[in-house]
Amino acid sequence: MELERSIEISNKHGLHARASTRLAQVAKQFTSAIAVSTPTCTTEVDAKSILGILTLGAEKGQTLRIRVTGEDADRAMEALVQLIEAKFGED
Amino acid sequence: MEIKKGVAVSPGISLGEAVVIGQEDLRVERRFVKRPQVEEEIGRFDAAVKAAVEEIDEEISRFGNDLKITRQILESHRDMIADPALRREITERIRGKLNSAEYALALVLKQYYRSFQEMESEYISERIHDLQDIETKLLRVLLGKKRAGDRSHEGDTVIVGHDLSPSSAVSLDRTRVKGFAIDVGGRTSHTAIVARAMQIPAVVGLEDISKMVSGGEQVIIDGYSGLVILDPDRKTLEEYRKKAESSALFYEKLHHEIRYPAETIDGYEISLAANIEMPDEIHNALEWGACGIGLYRTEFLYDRREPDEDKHYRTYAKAVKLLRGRYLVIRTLDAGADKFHSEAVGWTEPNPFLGCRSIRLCFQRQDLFRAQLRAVLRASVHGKVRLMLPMISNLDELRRAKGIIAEVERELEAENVSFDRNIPVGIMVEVPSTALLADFFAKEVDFFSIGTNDLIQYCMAVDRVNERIAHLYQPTHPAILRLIGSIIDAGHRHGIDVSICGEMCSEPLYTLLLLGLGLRSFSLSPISIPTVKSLIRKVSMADAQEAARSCLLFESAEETQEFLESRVKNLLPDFF
Repeated sequence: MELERSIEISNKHGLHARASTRLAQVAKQFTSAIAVSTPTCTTEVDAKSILGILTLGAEKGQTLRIRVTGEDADRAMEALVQLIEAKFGED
Repeated sequence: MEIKKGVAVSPGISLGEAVVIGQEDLRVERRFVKRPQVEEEIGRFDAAVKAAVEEIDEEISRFGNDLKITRQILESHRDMIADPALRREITERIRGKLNSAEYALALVLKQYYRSFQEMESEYISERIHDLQDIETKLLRVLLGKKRAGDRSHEGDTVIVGHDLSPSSAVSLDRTRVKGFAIDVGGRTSHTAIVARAMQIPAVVGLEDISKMVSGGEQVIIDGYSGLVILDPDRKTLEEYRKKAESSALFYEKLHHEIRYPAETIDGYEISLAANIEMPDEIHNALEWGACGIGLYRTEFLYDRREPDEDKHYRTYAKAVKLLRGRYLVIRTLDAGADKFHSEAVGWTEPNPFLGCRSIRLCFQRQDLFRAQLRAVLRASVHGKVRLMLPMISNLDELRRAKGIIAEVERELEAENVSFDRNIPVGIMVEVPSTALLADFFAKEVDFFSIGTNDLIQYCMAVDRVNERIAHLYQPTHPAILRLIGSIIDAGHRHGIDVSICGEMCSEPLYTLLLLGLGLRSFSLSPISIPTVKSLIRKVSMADAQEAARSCLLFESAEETQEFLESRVKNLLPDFF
């Protein structure tokens, strides 16, 4: 199963260290391969890699494209979207 | 025994065994492995990751509940070390290019450094420090080096290093690490601020201390005088051991004073506010009993790059909110001869102390000045904000600065942005011309803050950092006492607040004298508040005035110094 979605980053400081840590932690809970990219950084990075996510340099207002491939793709996508929409529990 | 002098940035005395930190000793060789050793080398890397992760987990369980922010930093570091992409890239290098684990790690991280350096977002580009931290951690394990503060035997340690990043500072074992001695930095360096926040004695600006110490030596750090003593002899050690014990006891006792008001025995209430460099210090200041912030030096904001208005605003708003109704005096940019200054104006100053600094610089770079003023005004809606202009040397300058403030206010009004329309505007009195004309200035400002550090330097023509003449820097020189007295009188005659925010104020030796000269408002380093307060609570205003009258009659600084020493020794025997 392959899913794809784009979602706006709306927390204050974008994908900084803490947000990236949370994102990778959630991604790691699933067996699916998860790749993320932004309009300015179109090379996909592994969402289970905090260092990879940080290289995106995604700031507030940018769109994050998420591509999930694997058996638990639907649950993984749901969890990631929820995390980003909840602004990583910040603010 | 060897003695080094640096800048004392966090008070206190510490004794301990030196632990040297820094990456210089973790240089990575371009090492390769033979093909049959590849799996073993990957195993070494995996074992290092596992050990480093365990080490951090242990740190988390030890400090994690202490500070939420520390826990989050540590968790990020742990996850970076265990990053699956990092492992993939490193094992590919070991397998494909036969790099050693250390060499592969350095090369892979170098690529991350590069991509982080290119980032625009400050929040993310600052992660370079995190990369340095995790690289050091992994290399230490791979190379078999011990971590700072991680000694097999018990006992106090002092950290010696070229520089100390905030994240490595917070991950140190606070029960063992008793002091910092660092090559670089000044009063506003990261090490200084973190050390003060952690209340660990620190001396910075020691230039080459990290090269002089190899680790394991006895080191004394005197966070009052800025002295660092290596391999002290028995007599010095004994002397400092006593000093450390009595100062620890003394502060413990003083801590009880915090809940009492700063009031003389005949009922004069004195306001004791704190000097800070960063909003993060406010918690500490309030803990020591500050009634507000009498001097917020904003230069720290300009540390890496020119801050924009929002960055200013966010920082000030945070500070005001933390103060919950207590006052905050924000001083506008007071940059002089530093790196920021030469970049901002595009030239270097031949004579920085007498050059185009602080308010003079602000007139030349009005974009910077206006952005800061807008932010201060915007933050004023959140509490009691006062605006302070540094280095004013004549009335025209004051009027010009006030004109710009009025323009900025009109701009905000036109934009429908709310701010405190009655925000008090005051000046630093630190140039002798302004001190002598204090009565003129008092009619046009809402408060004075006497900057004794610069006032003494300018008045006596002494650069106190210059060792050859530093002895001529005399806070108790008769000319200085007269000048301070006349500034206080002029302010009070015109009904405005007068405070002192120089180091003289933090020094209990001068408390009695300053009270006697009429000072009712002190602004000092947070940790000095309890000492100064306990002195205030032991004297009457009549005594203080009597003492000041005597001092004003002395013809030399030494006489005043001796007179005050004997008086204060009687009042605060534990302090000496």
